[in-house]
Amino acid sequence: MKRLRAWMFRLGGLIRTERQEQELADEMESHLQFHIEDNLRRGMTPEQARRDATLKLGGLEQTKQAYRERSTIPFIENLLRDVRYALRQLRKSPGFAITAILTLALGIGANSAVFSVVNGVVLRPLPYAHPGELVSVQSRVTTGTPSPELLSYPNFFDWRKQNKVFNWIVAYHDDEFTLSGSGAPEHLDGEVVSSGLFPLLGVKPALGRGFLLSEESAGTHVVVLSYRLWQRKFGADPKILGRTIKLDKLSYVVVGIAPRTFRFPVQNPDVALWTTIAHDAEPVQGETLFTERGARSLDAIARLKNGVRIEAARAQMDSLAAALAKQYPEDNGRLAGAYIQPELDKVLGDTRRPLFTLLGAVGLVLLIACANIASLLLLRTSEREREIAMRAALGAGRWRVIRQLLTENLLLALFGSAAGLFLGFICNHVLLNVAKASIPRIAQTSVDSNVFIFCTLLAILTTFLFSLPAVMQIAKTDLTGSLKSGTSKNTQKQERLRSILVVSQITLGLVLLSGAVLLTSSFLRLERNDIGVRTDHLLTFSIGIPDAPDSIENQVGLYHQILQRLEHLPGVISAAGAGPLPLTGDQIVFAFDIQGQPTSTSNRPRSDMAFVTPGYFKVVGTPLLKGRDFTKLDDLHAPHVVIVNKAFADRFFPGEDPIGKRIKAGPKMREIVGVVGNARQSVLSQDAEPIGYLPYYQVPIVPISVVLHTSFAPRALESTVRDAIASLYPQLPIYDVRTIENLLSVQIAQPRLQMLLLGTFAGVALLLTLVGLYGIMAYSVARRTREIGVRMALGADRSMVRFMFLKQAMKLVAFGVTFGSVGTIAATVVLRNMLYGLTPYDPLYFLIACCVMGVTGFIAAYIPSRRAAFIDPVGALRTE
Amino acid sequence: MGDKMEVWQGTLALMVLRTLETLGPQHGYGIARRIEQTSGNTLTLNYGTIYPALLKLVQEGSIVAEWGVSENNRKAKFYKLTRTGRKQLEKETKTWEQATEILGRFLSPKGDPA
Repeated sequence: MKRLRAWMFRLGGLIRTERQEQELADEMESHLQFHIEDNLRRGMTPEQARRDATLKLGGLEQTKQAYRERSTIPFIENLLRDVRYALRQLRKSPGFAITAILTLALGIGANSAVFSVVNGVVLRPLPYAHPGELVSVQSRVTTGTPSPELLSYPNFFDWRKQNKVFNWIVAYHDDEFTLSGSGAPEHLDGEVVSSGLFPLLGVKPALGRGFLLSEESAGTHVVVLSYRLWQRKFGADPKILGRTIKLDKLSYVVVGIAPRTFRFPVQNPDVALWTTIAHDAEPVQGETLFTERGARSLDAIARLKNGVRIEAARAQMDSLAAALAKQYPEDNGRLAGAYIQPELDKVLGDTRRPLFTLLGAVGLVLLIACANIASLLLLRTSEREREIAMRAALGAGRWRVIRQLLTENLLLALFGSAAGLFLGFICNHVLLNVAKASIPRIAQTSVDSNVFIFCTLLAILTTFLFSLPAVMQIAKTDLTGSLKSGTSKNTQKQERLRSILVVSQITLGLVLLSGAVLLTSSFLRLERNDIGVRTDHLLTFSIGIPDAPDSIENQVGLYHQILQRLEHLPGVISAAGAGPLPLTGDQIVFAFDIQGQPTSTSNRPRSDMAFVTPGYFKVVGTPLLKGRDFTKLDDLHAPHVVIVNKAFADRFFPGEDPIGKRIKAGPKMREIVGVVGNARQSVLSQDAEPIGYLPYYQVPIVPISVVLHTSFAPRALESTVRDAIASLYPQLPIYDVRTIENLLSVQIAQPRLQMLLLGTFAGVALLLTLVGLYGIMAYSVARRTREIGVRMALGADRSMVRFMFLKQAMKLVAFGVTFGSVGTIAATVVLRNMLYGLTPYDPLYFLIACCVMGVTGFIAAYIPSRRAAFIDPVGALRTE
Repeated sequence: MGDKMEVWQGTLALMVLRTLETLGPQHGYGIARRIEQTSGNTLTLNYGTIYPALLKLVQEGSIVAEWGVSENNRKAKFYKLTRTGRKQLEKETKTWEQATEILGRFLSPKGDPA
């Protein structure tokens, strides 16, 4: 208690006032007077009396100092004094302070922006209870490279029943619904889930309940609405539970409302409702998905039982999968394993690695910035040598001088960090806009306390980094020596240190630059990829047709009617339907048999497939190479046909004419009637995938989208198209209206973002290196003015002087490039996975990077060396 | 001079408190002189050390300081014992008496009947 009280007083004492100082002086004075009077009474002379009194006190100033130290906390008092002194010093050289702070702000800002994304996307846990226990459960392909594969209903049911490692396991897949009944029909994203989703995630619905096991059987129609849909469409009516809503023309009973912030799946914020797998239990043409072991369409999420490790879960699920593979070799032969990974890994997919790579790259930028500041500080330290020597002469120890310097630098770093945080805040917004669709969870990232802590840590770390050379210099220097000599003896040593700094800058800069060159050329190549469809004047959209089982024949008629209507619109050249659309990355994969080449079921050839209407290839501009296009006559009753692309023909019929060949896909044997050019389903794959096209009017089993080839800007047609369809079918919603450019840009968004970021970082690095090299050269010229004068007086001409300095600079660049090439090799290994169709070890890219660095170095050196060449020798000899 | 002693660490505060108890309110110089005199001039006291010690006691609340006027009409800062200070003095006196008694027993000639 007593001690605490004393500390409070001392803390208060940090703010020392004039009055307190005065009081102390008064008290000392009165003490001395008392003593002097006593001494005089004892017969001393006045001088003797005062001298004795002061002596007995132990020195006036010493006593005062001891008193002051007791009245405050000396450490903090010193710190505050250092801070005040540092502020004064920085104010005295605003040019230095601003340069250093801006450089740091740039470095730390870029770091905080990238870190905020890494923090939000990768580090933030999933928004469910005990997210570490959540795992994603899929089948594992055990032939060839292990890869995950979706589950089928029978496999899921077996796993759910037999496993002993999960508390809960829930299957789910995306679906789309048309909400009708209240106002205009609306297309909604929904999720079909098995029972137990809410207890699995540890989430309580805002209203009502989740789904029961009994609600999984055919004929049950229950739904949980998202909070937003409930508010937007139903006015947040609390009495909604038990009421029915119309989805795809069927009545669903609302049993619950999800919490306001609830998302499932977490990467899809647009899901507006959840319903049970009863949705898939209805038989379609006599078959139900519940019994088709080969129909794989499900993802699954599970919660590990308390204390069960993921390895144990993997082991048990593997053995279950192996047993099923033995039991059902037809459907499960390839899938004798389970693919179990933390749910967060599944959500992030392959975004984690590029993000950390970018964080590493931006870290290099900060290092380069540090080198610049360190170099500046070295200069500043030698400029201040006399001041430092003065302080040393007045009794400051070496450590005290260094501490003062560190305080000053920390202050710089904190200012820079604050500015950087602000910059990062802005960059974060820009980044979110650029990256919106391409990185899961990125929309929810923000500059939060983690980012703040990160910035503070960076400030401290960078302080030590960029202070190190200057501290080393002070630690080695004879502090008082320079006071005597007046000029610095350390210039040479210091210049070597600064040269080392510049070389390391060039090294790091070259690594970044080669990376940027690699990514840029990879991206350019990606853009130049022949995608096989026209890249302009295409408009696509989807129509929300309720997939009620009875309407299959109606659907064909409906699309037929709509397409015909659209073709006659002004501005539309041609119209067709297709699903899945090209360039979306959506795939439907099917396995088939080639007539006359029987294989075992699990080794059957596999290919992408798409369903298209007649005229589709003309609409998207994919050339028909051989045979014929589909016609209206290829309908449900006609012979079964298929058109394949060139990649398909090359892979499965090498050196043969595929026309007239037959393949068996599903129950039907189909004849190949045409070969078309390679259109890409995904831009990112290196080579064109084989695709088999089936006539939609013959197999109307998947929802298709409409594709229009337009003669004017496709977006301008949107309202015309909407009106035209509304005049035919007012109850059908239209959604996902996109141009081909939209589709493309979504696909290449992530590589583009990576390229842009790394390019920016490399640019900043280059700029900082340029400044660093320029700085050292300019200083070198200034320092050697006299020497230049002598050289010129002895007959050196201007070009020789210029050459001398250029040589010095180019030597530094050469060193940097040499070390950098080693770093570049390491960097390309890291970047390998971010490149599309490019061999990273191609020396061309490295050469380009070296050239850019060389030219930059040359520019940085040329200006100072030119100045050196034009020094007036007579004037130069008179300097100093 | 060789037989003079330095003030032991930590005992100065106790001496100050004791002095203030006997003399009543007193200024720094007075306290220092008194301590020296009480010790029969066997202690060398650096007068300067008295002030941080006084400040510490003020911070701990054992004494309070107040400006006043001395007998010979000089302005001086007077220190006065508080109730906390009295309690502290009592406690520390007891501790010291015990400590010296124990030490005394150790150091007294052997076989000395207690």
